[in-house]
Amino acid sequence: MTAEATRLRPHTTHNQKVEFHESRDELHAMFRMMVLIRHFEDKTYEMYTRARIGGYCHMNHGEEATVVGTIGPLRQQDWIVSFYREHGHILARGTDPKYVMAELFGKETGVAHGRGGSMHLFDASRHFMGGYGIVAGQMPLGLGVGWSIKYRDADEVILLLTGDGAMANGASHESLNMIGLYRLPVITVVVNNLYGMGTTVDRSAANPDLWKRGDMYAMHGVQVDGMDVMAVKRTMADAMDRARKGEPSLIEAITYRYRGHSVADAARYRTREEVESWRDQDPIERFYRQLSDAGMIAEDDRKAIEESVDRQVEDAVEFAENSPQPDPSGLFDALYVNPPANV
Amino acid sequence: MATEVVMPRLSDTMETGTIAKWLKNVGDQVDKGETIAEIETDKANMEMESYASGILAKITVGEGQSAGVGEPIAVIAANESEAKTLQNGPQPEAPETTGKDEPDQVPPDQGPPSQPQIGKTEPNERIKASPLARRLAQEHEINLSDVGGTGPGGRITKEDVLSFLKQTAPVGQAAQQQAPAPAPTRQEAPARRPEQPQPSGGRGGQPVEMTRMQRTIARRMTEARFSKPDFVLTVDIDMTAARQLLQNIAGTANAPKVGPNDLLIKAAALALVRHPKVNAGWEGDSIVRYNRVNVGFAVALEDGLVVPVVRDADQKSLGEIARDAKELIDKARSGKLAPSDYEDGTFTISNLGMYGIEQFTPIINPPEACIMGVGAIEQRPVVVDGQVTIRDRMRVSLACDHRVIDGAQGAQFLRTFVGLLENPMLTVL
Amino acid sequence: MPEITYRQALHDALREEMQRDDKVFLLGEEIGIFGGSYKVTEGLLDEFGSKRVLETPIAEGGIIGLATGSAMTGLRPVAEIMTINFIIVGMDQLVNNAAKIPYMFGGEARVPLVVRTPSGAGHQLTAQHSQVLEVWFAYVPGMYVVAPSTPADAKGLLKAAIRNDNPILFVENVLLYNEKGEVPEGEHVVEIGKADIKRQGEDLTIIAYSRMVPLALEAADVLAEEGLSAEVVDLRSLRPLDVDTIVESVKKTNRALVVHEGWYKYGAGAEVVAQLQEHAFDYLDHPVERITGAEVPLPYATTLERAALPRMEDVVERARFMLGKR
Repeated sequence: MTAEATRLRPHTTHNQKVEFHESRDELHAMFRMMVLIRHFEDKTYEMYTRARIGGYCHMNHGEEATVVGTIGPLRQQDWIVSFYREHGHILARGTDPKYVMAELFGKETGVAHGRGGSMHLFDASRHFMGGYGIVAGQMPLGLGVGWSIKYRDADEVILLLTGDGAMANGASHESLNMIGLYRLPVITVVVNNLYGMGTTVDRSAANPDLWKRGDMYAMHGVQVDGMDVMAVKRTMADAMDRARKGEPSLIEAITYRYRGHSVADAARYRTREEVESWRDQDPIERFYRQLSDAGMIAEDDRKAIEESVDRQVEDAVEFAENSPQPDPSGLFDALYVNPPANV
Repeated sequence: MATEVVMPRLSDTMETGTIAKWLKNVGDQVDKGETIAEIETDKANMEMESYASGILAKITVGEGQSAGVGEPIAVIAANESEAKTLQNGPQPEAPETTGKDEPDQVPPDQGPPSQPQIGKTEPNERIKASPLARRLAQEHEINLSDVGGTGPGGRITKEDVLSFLKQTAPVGQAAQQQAPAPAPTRQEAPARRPEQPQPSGGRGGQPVEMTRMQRTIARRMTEARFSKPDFVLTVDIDMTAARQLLQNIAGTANAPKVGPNDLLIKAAALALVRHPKVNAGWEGDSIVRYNRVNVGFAVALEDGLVVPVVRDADQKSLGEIARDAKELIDKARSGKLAPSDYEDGTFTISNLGMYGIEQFTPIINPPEACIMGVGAIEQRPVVVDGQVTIRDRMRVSLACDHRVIDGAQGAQFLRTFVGLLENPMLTVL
Repeated sequence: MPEITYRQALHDALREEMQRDDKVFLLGEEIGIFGGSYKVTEGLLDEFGSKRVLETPIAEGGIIGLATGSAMTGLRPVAEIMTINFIIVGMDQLVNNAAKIPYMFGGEARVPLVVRTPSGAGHQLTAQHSQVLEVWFAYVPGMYVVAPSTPADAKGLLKAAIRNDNPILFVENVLLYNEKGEVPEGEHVVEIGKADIKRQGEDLTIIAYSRMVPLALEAADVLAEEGLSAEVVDLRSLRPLDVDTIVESVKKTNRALVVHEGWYKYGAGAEVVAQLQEHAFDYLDHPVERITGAEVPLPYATTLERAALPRMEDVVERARFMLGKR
């Protein structure tokens, strides 16, 4: 299993020297966001084991480069449809961690007012359209958002995030087929962390080179090193250009999740050595090295960033802790819009 | 400042965990994020990491021991000296752990149940009673409008019917010492008088525990006799030909057994068909004409009488009527009559001829409009064609409810009936 | 008042709403060039173009998901699922997404979606094409299920559904499309959630919806000749269910008979019986009964199919029994 998992190597290598066109501020913001995601997810894990967070809890440790690289380039008017491993996604989109932690704690102040939890985050003002628990269930919704953009003739694109396991599901096929058929401005990013729960991609896909399916769906298919935030960012920027010209993309980002499928996963399907080998490619460390090599960041900056992030995460926990739980009198809120009395 | 280590929740269903193995010993340096123990949960063995850096000062739940999620299992001291203090001294003040929220308030009890509504309902208003209560009321011959309902919305429930029964219970065995009370009515409680022996020895009366049937008969007869304007029409019938027919039937091989009663039923049925105004009753406040001809006949039992019904007697042959009647009599005698056996009668025949009664006025069986009382068949002298001769004669009395039938209608019916009995072949055709 | 077919009424509703609001668009299989497999959308492609009349591949999950995603982002889609049998293929999108999105996101999103589909059996379409499944969706909180029985209701309720901001399953019937009825001209919109008394009566309440309403009316005619007066209540929607109207009717008649297509146990009738038992207990003189299809996958042979579908004669006979006449 280990050999299979490490067989998958991205086309861009991780030792490539990067030429930065971005400003120092932008790069620091990217770095900070990756650190925020990592620390937030560490805290999420702790809060789950302290029973402040319940139910299911899927975390993004290790995926920060893919998350920040795909979501960072989006503009305000663009859209995101994601799935249940989404805490980092909504953070990368700019939602205040306070409201995300509050939702995880099931509080009225949460982004879904305590009704959704970890798998159903939402932020209408930032066009973050959820958060779905059925594997591949979000794919047709992404198709729908893409259709809506074309229908309204708007200068918008939509980032549709999905996983390697979901690519085996019929809903993925139906959606990608129609996205390609109708030439919709949809950028589908397959976060290939090599495992669908405990099943490697080799054991779930007849052809595990998922990016090659782009061809099948008449869209631009590309594989990228998902542990390299700059590589992902460049690939995403290119995909956005194409999308605005009517060509959808299928981006396969090779990455890794350091923790199990969810908190309750003992991860017996992979070895400690394998996990360690991927930790050696920690995307945050890698980006720091790239920035540092280019003189774009110093140790002090990093320290300051990490302290700021830790404070922000602690504040988020405090906010969540002190927020009220939803009152049971609100059980039927938002079930319908303007229902008749007899519903 | 020391940090308390608690049993982590490692799955959504985990409630307790067992320390499979401590990976650190007391006194060891511990780093934040480092795995310090292996926990056995309901699903699998999982790693537990430390959320603080420092010295592992105390282990309070050892290997192989269990603790509930959130319960303390160890303490991490900030530094060596604190560790020493903790190891030797009392437990450190546990830092403010994020306590569990207050359990949700249990909603207060609903107020006391609303007062029961007892009282008469409007006569035309539908009475609210559960199906069970209705059935009980029917079985005990209780009128629901007399029962108060204590169920939701004033509904009458089984409890209400039972308590009503208790209040209006008839005098039973326990009342042997009491003077006999009148048959219970719905309205009044039985008078209870203390024992008072008569100076002259009295009648020596003992109240008999009445069966439900007897009580019912008592009530209904009272009702029937005193609640309607009735009159009686009497005729004397020549039964010679009828007797002859019955003998012929009896002598025919393979013929069913047919008796006089069966013949009476058939004749009455045919006559009712010809006189539909007589096949009627009084229900509520109006005449009701019945489409079917269901003839009932009184059957004496040891402690009462029942009136089983031959349904659609007009459409049955003598043989079929005889068969049905026999079956009904057998059931009646063995107490096995079902409601469908005695319900829905449209006309009743009561025959006391076997006791030698010449003639009598029976009491109408409501809601029917009339009842026929049959006397004995006797040889009597009569005048035929100017000559006195001996014939088999039988007297029949028809008691009628004048609200439904007038004299002429009753008389016409009787004339047809007599014609059928005196020309009995007509009942066979 | 003009008399038009059920099909024409639906067509007119779609057309009028599309003219009224350019956020309304249609999607489904064969709804364009083919005009719709039941010809409801005939001519609309020519009038509105292929963006507003989107012909899709055979992909029910994709269709309903596309509609849901569009609805979340400002559009008002009307998706057609060719028959309700195929809705199973797309059920995840309808039940797990459309019906839940408004609630599970705490009211931060809306799904103003209509999914139109014909239900019902007849004409030997056999087991997999003859099902009556709307009750499955009536079970799901977060969506409405609407089922008109007449052209007037079809037009009025479809217009109301398109203007409504909730996800709505709009259930037509395969055998009603050719039925004619009077339809008011102009803005004819029927409130969703109100049952309709299609025939006044005194002795028995017959409760039905969709194709069983005309069947119940026929039965009521037969009963009337025998002096028995049946009131026919057309539910018009399974959710919201107009309990008040059926209770008021049963308070008057004291007897209720529910007639619906589809299977007996756990069918729509079971809910009506439960509601009447709960809210009209003291007014019932007889248990509430149900006449439905037989509990079999629908067979092909005409004798068997006929025996498996509810018939007018069955309703009449049962009504007579319930009224104490043989």
